[in-house]
Amino acid sequence: MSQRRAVLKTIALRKVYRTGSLDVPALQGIDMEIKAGEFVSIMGPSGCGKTTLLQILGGLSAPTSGQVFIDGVDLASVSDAVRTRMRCLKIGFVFQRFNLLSTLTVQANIEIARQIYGGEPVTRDEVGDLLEIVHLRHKLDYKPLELSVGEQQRVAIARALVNKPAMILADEPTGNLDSRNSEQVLRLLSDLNREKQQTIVMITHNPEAAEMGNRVIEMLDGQIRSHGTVAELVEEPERARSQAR
Amino acid sequence: MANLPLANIFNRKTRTTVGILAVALGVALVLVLVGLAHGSLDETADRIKNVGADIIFQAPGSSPFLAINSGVVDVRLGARLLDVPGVAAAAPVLTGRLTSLKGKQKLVMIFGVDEMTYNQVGNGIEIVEGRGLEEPADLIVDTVLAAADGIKVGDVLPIMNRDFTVVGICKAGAGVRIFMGITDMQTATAQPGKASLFFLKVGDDSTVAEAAAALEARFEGYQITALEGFSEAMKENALGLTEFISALSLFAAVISYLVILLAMYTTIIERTREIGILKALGASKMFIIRLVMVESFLICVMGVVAGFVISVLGRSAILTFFPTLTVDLIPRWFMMSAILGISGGLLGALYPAYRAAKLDPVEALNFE
Repeated sequence: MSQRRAVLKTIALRKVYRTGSLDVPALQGIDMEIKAGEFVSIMGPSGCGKTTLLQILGGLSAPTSGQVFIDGVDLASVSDAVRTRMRCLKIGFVFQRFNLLSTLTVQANIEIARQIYGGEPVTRDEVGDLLEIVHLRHKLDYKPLELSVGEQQRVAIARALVNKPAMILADEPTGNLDSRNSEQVLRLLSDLNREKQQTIVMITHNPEAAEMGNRVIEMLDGQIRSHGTVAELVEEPERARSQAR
Repeated sequence: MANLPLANIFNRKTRTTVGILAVALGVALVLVLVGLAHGSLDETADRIKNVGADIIFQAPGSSPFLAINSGVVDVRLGARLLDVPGVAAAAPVLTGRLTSLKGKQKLVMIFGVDEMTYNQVGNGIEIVEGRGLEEPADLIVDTVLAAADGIKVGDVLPIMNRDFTVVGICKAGAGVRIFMGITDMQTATAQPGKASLFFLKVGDDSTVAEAAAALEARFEGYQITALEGFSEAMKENALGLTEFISALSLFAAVISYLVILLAMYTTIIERTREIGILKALGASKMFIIRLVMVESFLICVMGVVAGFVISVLGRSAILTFFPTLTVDLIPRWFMMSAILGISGGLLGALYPAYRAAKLDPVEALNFE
């Protein structure tokens, strides 16, 4: 693992939201590194800053200070246009609310991600192959609202894969799913990581979901509280915390 | 390929329909009203040309719009006109106009003519039913007006505070829709011995140009117009026509602009979250702008096509319900109105497109 290249690295990442005259720190110096092929779960209670972290890692917003490198490019120092392009080229998003375009079919939802990416349009067969991964090849021509919530999330995963991203960022991907669908989606992400060495960063507040990752980063009050495998966090919490410091 | 603009158009039917109808309204307004303006002018000019005369002779400073000329020349001038080389016949006409007929408001032009000389200068009044002007208070109405207002031979029509009897129905298309004796018109308008103009016929031994030159030499300052160029002369002198058409065009463009602006602005608000999704997927500002503009363009194109259809249907309706009107749907104006509708719509889409492109992806994704 240590010889793999770093897909993502943050140095002293800080984010402060200004509410009126009040500064609210959301991230207070995050240093982390994620290597290619890792499946990292970021855990923590609500308000600990994990969604803010994911937004910055995904180039959806800029940090107040610090650096965030995606494949060697510091997203904090580039223009909004470059950050947008990096998002398109390097990152596949999976959201809690699926965020499929309701007016488009499943196929078109996947196609549009390639349209935005540019280059060769994705063929129907290629879309079918992607949907095969999430076991939904037969739902190519359905609209999102004709699918179950679990199926919608699986389509979102297929969409995230269409441009072969360096990293998938999943924000509470099971947050809107029942236990059966949650299990399916988590297994799918785990399979993608294991079989295709897809780098995945998943935010969750669910310890069981976090266990799917091969590393867990625990956040509290905008800082990394501890990191390590789930077993390390459970069995040697003090050691994990000292590593984080 | 995924076609989000088309998908949005078909999935937001009410918004799309309103947008299409608004653009269509602007396009149809321009086409029909410009068509009405041109049609009325052309039809009037054609009818004057169809009198069959070669030259119109008018007092200095007269308008080519014959209906607005009062009796400013003496009928006795006719004898002097016949002395001019090339002039074979001269028919004095005193013009008048009605603003209502049979209780209905309408503008109708009337010629007070001496039927004998009038028939000499051209095709004359071709009676299809009844007889010509023989007695005082006789009236001839053309077939179009007779059909439109249900006028029959024998009807009595109060005109200019006097009862006239319809004694004949004449073929439409030459001169005006109502003829009366010039003496009746002089009496009714208190202009005894006067005419508004003379229609002149050029003899076989001369050309129109030669006769016109001779007239100009003899009657310096008088207005001498060959009927050949009468239509153009009318349009050139149609005060405010260009301004009217410009105002209409601007009006159509502004309608398209405002409606598309409102429709697309509302759409952007409705679709904030969708735009957030696209941005999260890496869509550039230009991609979002293009998306909004393409959608607006498609709505405008459909609006223009609908506008063309409405114009054609509107023309048929106008001709059915107002048979005395003429609407010329001019091919050049189809292109002009299309450009106006589309450019107005695209301008209207610019601001919503810009706003959409500027949306913060995080805020947009959290939009409920």
